[in-house]
Amino acid sequence: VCQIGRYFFFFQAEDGIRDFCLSRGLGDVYKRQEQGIAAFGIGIASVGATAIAEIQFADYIYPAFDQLVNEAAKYRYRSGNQFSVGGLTVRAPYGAVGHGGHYHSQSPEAFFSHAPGLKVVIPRDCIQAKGLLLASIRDKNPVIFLEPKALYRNAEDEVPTEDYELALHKAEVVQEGKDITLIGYGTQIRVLKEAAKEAEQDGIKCEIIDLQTIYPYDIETLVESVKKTGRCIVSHEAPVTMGVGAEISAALQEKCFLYLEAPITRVCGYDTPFPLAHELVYLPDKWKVYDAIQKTVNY
Amino acid sequence: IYTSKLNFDSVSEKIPTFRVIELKGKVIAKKYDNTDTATLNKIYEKMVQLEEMDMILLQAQRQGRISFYMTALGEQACTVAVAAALNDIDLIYPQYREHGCLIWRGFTIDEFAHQCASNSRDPAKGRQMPVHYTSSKLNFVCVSSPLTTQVPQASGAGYTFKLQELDRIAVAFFGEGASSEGDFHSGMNFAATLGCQTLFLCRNNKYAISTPSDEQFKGDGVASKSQGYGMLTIRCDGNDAIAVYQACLLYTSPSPRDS
Repeated sequence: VCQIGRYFFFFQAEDGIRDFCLSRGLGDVYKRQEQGIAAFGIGIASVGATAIAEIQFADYIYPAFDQLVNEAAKYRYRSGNQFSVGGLTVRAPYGAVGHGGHYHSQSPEAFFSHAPGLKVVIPRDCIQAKGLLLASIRDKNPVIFLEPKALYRNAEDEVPTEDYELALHKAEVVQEGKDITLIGYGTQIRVLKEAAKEAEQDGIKCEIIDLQTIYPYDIETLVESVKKTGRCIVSHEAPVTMGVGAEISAALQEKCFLYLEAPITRVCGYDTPFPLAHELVYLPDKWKVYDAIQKTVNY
Repeated sequence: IYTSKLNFDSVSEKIPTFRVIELKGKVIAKKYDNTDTATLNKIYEKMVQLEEMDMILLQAQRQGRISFYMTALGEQACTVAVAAALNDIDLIYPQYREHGCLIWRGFTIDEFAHQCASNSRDPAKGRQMPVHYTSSKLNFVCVSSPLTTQVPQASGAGYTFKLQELDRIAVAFFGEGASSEGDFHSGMNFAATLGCQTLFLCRNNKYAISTPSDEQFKGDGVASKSQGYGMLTIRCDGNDAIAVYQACLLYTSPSPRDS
């Protein structure tokens, strides 16, 4: 196993990782070079070992784009399975943090969800973070694991200390409801829960689904829900155009057209770089979601 | 070390090129002319076979029978003699002009042809353009079109072999033009600072597709860059199979050194 990169300089999310690795004869490599970090990890995985490559902020993952999309995603395909890099997991903090601006707040999941051969996974909270990360590391395919940085110091839970995994490609129905389906992931699940609480006061029962695995995603769970409720909102921080919401809306209307009572609405970031001073205006907050719930239910 | 002289420092001397035989075949470095006859014969045989195969497949491409081809004309020693110095278990990360290594290790002419024809006998299932060979059995990682991406991957592999305490090295081939890519810098820097069990081999044929090397470099080529990274460096005549063989042996025996 090799842990490449280390971000205790920023988040101290990994106190003790270096000592852990060294005491067990594992590698711990720290470098400030994203394309090198990804490529080095690919090399390690290509000889059958496990590499957990960390990019300090997802905003800086782009130098590694060629290695991830042209190499990691295609390693098994192009060699007829003679070589593969299943042991690679790339972790990066993503998303709004309150003061990050355009280079410390990005959500790049859509870029990597368009590269067959990669997987993209995003946990919404502590218990999911551990279970999904272990599943991602052990999955025999390269996985991009995006961690909501806003929750590093804000999320607390009773996380089981024993080993457990949560299944990839399985969305979770976080809250059941009969009137409308709200779909999201990562930090946005908290926003959807708050919007749902507001809607509850109007007698609207919202079903909330956490995608968990963004790519390839669990369309079956989404279809089952939308066929039940007939209404749907997809919500994420990333810009609305060409985002994950666009794909999900298209797929759902294809499969659930006759069950829909209203168009599927996307409540997402605007098509601008992520602002600094105007972050609160930009974010798809609970009021925007609540407004969309109202409009959809009253369509 | 401090100085009170203020001027631009630049390298005044080019790194000399190691050679055992001069152009007309006369041995000029007797000390290194000790390769056994069986190995010399096999190197020669494989270099000739490589050239013959290249000529046939190149003609096939020109005739439209296969879609694409890259020859190793003039570079046979760079790959065949290297493969001769390596152990079969050493993992090669090629660029795209290293079929000489495959020929040395036993890839058959049929296997080359199947890949170039993208037929059902190609183990990569006809997914890659011609010359993008792969062979896990012969420890030859799949060729990929993007340039230089293999260099830092070879660093990662060499690091893994070191952690696993294996008597095995990773070998990264690339052309001199490829050394201008960002991945080259990553790969070299990681390998040098981490002491990866990786051998880096630059085939400098003086042309990056059609860009001549005097337009590619202002400094002393690729070898000077290697020194800049703090790595052990040899500049070697790639047309001299014995020099190439001896230079590689310096690294691979008795045991892999920190790159």
